[in-house]
Amino acid sequence: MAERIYHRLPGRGRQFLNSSTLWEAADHLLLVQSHLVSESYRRFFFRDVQALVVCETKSGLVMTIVLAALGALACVPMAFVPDGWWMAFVALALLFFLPALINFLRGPTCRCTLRTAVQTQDLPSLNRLKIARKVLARLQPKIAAVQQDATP
Amino acid sequence: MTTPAPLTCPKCQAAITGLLASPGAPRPCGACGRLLEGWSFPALQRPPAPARLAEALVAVEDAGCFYHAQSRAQVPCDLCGRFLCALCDVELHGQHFCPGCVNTGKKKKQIRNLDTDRLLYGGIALMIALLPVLLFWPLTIITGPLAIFVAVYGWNKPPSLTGTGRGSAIVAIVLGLLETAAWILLFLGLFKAF
Repeated sequence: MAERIYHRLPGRGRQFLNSSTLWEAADHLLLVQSHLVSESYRRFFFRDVQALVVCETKSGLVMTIVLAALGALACVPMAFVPDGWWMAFVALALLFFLPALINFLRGPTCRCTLRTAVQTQDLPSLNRLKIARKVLARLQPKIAAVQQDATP
Repeated sequence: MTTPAPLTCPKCQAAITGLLASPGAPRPCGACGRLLEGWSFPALQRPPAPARLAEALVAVEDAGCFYHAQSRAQVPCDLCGRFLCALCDVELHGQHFCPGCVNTGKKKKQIRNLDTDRLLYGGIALMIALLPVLLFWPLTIITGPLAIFVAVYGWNKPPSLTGTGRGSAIVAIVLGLLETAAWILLFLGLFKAF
């Protein structure tokens, strides 16, 4: 069996019918954008990476609050419905509370960018601070080592 | 010497200073106040590489570039062997290519590092097999065999660069076979009934 060139890094950025993942090769990163039946690729060679910047965002917190509020709203009719019907509203509330809990447990969100001499590229798969730190801690020594070797 | 452009906050695009003095340590953006963490590498301080210029032929015995006869050849193309000057040499992953081979290699997907997109036949076959089941099942009389055909047709086509995609082709073939078998059984049953 052929040796695998790419190894998947943690994290996945999701949009409607699209997703984005980051893969690591020996000397470059591969950003894969999946569009249901096709994929597009962007490569970032370790020797070209100038900086990686992570910015904490509030979108995760806002999403948790919105979902929890919707769950709470779904609980309100329970006080006014006949016996037995409350179960339906508990189920409806859970539909909001569970994603809110999962979103909360995944931790704060962030936006990560990679800079080279000619571009600044968003890395949508690194959208959670915990994952971004983990991935960047793994990449940082590799990029530094490649650039140290390349220094004349 | 040119100084590199300052790093910018990914959220507000304001220039950030001092972030790289303490790599990885959180620090608020001066403009939007969001917490930033950054790592910089020696490439940030590296001056831009000087533009490569083709050298003129100095002696009659010098080999000339295939594309520019007046320029001295420096390397041969690793695919077609044409002599190339510094201007025509496209260095990619330690290999040297001429512009023509780069163009052909990209079109024919011969140079792996030039692949920027791939069609996933397994995914297409799976969609063909699955969508009619969810939306309008009588269509499966056509889409079942079609899904098998697309999955088999795409089996030897280049898969995803990351090595994934065969799984969806297998699922599509199984689904296509099940749909086709269901229709055959239905027709056999009807044939016996009448």
